[in-house]
Amino acid sequence: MTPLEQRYRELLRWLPEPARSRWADDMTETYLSVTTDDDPEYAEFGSPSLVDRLDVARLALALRLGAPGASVRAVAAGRTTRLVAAAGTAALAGTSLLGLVSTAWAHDRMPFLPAPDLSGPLLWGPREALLTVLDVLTVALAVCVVRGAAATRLLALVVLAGQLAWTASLPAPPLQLLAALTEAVPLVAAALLPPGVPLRRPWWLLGVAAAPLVGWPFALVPERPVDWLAALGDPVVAWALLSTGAAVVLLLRRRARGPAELAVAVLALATLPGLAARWPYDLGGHHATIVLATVGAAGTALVAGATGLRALAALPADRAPEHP
Amino acid sequence: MITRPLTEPAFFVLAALSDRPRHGYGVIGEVQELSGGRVTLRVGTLYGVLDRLVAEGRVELDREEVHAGRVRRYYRLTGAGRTALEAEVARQEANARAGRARLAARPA
Repeated sequence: MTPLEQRYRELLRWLPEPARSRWADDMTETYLSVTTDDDPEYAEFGSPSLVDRLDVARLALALRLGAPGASVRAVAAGRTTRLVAAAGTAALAGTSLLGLVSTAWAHDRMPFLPAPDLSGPLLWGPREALLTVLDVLTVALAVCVVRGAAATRLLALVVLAGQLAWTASLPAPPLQLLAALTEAVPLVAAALLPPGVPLRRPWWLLGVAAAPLVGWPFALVPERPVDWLAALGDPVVAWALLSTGAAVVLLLRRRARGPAELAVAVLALATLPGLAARWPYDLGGHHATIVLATVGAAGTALVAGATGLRALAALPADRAPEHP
Repeated sequence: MITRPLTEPAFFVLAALSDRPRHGYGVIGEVQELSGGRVTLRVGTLYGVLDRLVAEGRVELDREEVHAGRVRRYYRLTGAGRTALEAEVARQEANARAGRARLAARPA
């Protein structure tokens, strides 16, 4: 075995089983035929190119996320990623839609609804414009995830980059960056999704998108009767409590299937940085709700995560059947 | 039964194997020639496609040969693979005919 062949074999260890056993020998032979054409000097000193590494990494990722030919566990991991992307982007789209409606209202662009009486001039600059564009793209992304559109990955990366740029422009970057982590999790999941698979029965996502609206009326009332209820209008608090509720429903099922429990655990875990970013502020009665949401999200991540992982480990490691 | 259209890489891999069995490197070269140099399959892409086509019963192992001290596998089209390729060719021909007919019609 030449050093180059050894290097290609090491690279192909990135592939998950059972695909690695099936294809690694033949892929090595093809890589060597493509790259060296039996050039002895290259066989001694050459190594896989960056393009080859990216090529194998892409195939390994696709197989781990349930591409055709992947194992049953990888298919379950792929479903988990899809659920995180779908529920997470639906949640983000709900707040984005709310942001767009608020912006239109403030700028007197809502038919049949007079503009609010603002005490000062309306702020509108590059940051506000960027946020509005990001809101539109986030709503489009949620639709793309549900439909399995080819543009999903690119759109997710654009929204992620835009969110990071917007966060970096804010006055308190460390805390804001922590909050941005919550939004980054579903965006990264969407960027990993293989295109072409629409979500079946996506109507439950409307409930996820509308979750922050539950507390909105409490936040709008000028004299709040119960202050801690107003915190439910905070999207991150609403998502954390929603994930806890979803975990309770899932754990009451007779048999855990894996992907749903794991997705809820990941989404609950994702809310923790966002909730932690709210802790340093004196929010009066809100604080109790934020503490409750944090404890609930941490417990959900632990219990639902452990249940989901156990269900996943119980699945066979062999190849999943094809679903044409 | 409604069958999904083949992806472009899957179409070219089936087409490359339609006249005789080929090994991985041979398939890459044949696809490049068939597509007039437009499609160059990366090795990872080829084996991702082959994995799927084997699982679907459209491609199977033909034989193994030793080349430069290493085993080289040849793959061949199955009956199901030929049927899928013929269906895809018919679909693309129908699309082309419809497009050509529209192009030939003069705008009103």
